[in-house]
Amino acid sequence: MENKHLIEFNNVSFSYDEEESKVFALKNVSFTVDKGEFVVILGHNGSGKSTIAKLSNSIFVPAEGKVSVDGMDTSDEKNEFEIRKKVGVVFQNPDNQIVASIVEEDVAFGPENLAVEPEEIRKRVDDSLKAVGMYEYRMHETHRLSGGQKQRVAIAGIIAMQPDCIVLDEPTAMLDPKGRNEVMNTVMHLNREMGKSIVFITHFMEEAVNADKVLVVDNGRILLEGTPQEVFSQSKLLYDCGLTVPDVSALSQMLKKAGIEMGENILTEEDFVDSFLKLCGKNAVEE
Amino acid sequence: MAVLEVKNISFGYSHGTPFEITALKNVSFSLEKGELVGVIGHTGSGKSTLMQMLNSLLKPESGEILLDGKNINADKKSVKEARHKVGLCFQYPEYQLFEETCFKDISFGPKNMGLSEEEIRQRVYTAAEIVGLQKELLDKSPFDLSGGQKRRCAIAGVIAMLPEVLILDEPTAGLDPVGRAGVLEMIDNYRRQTGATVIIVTHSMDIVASIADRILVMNKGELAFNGSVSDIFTHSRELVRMGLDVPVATKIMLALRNKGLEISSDIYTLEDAAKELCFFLAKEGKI
Repeated sequence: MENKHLIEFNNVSFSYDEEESKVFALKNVSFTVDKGEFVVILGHNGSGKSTIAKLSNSIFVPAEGKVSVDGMDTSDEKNEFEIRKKVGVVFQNPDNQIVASIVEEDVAFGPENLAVEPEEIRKRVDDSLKAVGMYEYRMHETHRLSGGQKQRVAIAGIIAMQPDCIVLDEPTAMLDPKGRNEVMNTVMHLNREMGKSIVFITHFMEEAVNADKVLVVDNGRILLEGTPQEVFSQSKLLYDCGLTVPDVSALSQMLKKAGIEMGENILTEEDFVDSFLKLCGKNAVEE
Repeated sequence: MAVLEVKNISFGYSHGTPFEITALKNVSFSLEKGELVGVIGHTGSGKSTLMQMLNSLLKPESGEILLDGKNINADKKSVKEARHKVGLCFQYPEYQLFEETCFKDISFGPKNMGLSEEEIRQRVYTAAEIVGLQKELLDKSPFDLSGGQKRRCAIAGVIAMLPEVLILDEPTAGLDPVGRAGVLEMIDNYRRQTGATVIIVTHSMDIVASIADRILVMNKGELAFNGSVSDIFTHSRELVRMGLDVPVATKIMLALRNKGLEISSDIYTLEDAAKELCFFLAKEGKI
């Protein structure tokens, strides 16, 4: 039977503390990730974001509640293998997740472990490297790549295992602007063109504007859930929990205070420019 | 007089192998007392190599570095002096915490400087106060702190040496928006309280635009630009070509100008952007 939700968190709690006095890193968290959905998770340091990433493919299992991946319970050890095939995780530091010295060998590592046939591995490695725009670098040494390139190789390594969902835990935190763009474009491509579900964890508000759904995590709980427009209209709540809104939204809010109404839902630079031009009327554009 | 003068330095890695790389090529600049200088550049542009030159962790192959007019690599004594006067805080400094308590960790630097017990204690308290680390935390293990607190503790360890020049490599990487603001504020505190020169290496154009007195732009081992915030960001096209970017506020202004609006593009912060847009609308009679 086809499950509607690819990943389902049902009232999940988790604690790093083994002792009696439980400090919960996550408390009663429920949400779903559907097939093909692009979900962004925002939250301050220590809010529980990374814990969610590790619960999503059975690296951690919940203390209470249930996480299921395509209907399989992550707490059940016999599902572990299947679950990890379905959900792959990319972490923050590119240097910690490259295992081989040559790009294509690194990408082949995952499918090799899944005992995929050699010809099939060859095909998957090529396809994955093309998907992240690193095919020309397949014979390069991994340690000579830039941060953005390493991160894309790490993503290719996950794609080669053909998961339905890719979880990325702050994949852009260590990258320069170009590297951040490369990774963001790659992730958009995987979602829009290849239909992969994406769970993208970040501290950069701008990276949430293209999401289908945004979750804001605070103190181990889900504080907000909605479209980027819905979430970023709650600026006070976001500021209160240590986050901000995208710079563009902040700018339109500053103008609002000065009595200039830019309209709701301004999240990207294009939105802002369009809206401002409208405000100026045609004269300005003609000048 | 300049605190630090970098005169025509060059440096390369892996000489005599096919992997020879010129990391720095004829770099020259000087830093004045009390200046806050932002260093930007793509991954691999030579930023980190350059920073390690400034307190003699690496020595230039040609050219020299003068601290208070004296060559830091002249002899053992001058090297030692440079290490005390130029404090270098690496990326993710919390990975370098090692002591049993925060107090001991912060006092490691001052202790190596051969200061008296009393002086060391004073410096630890002062440093902890500057970085906003509560006194109660000083007796705790640094490994029991939160991510943001660990970062503060690690930076305090450098600040406790009261360096004349404080260098921070990506001090806000991986922090949430509040953490980022907090770290920048404490760096500013240090500068105001001690009159020290501060260098911040960062990938964030918005951070340099909002706090730096001057910006150095590194590109492929060379110093591409050296100037004020407005000098640097007028070169938006070159910056993008170098894998960098311009602040969000500047991008919006440029986009509006391209649409034919007579708006100043000499704008680098959201606050200034809001002011300029209000001014423009008033001029056009729209408000």
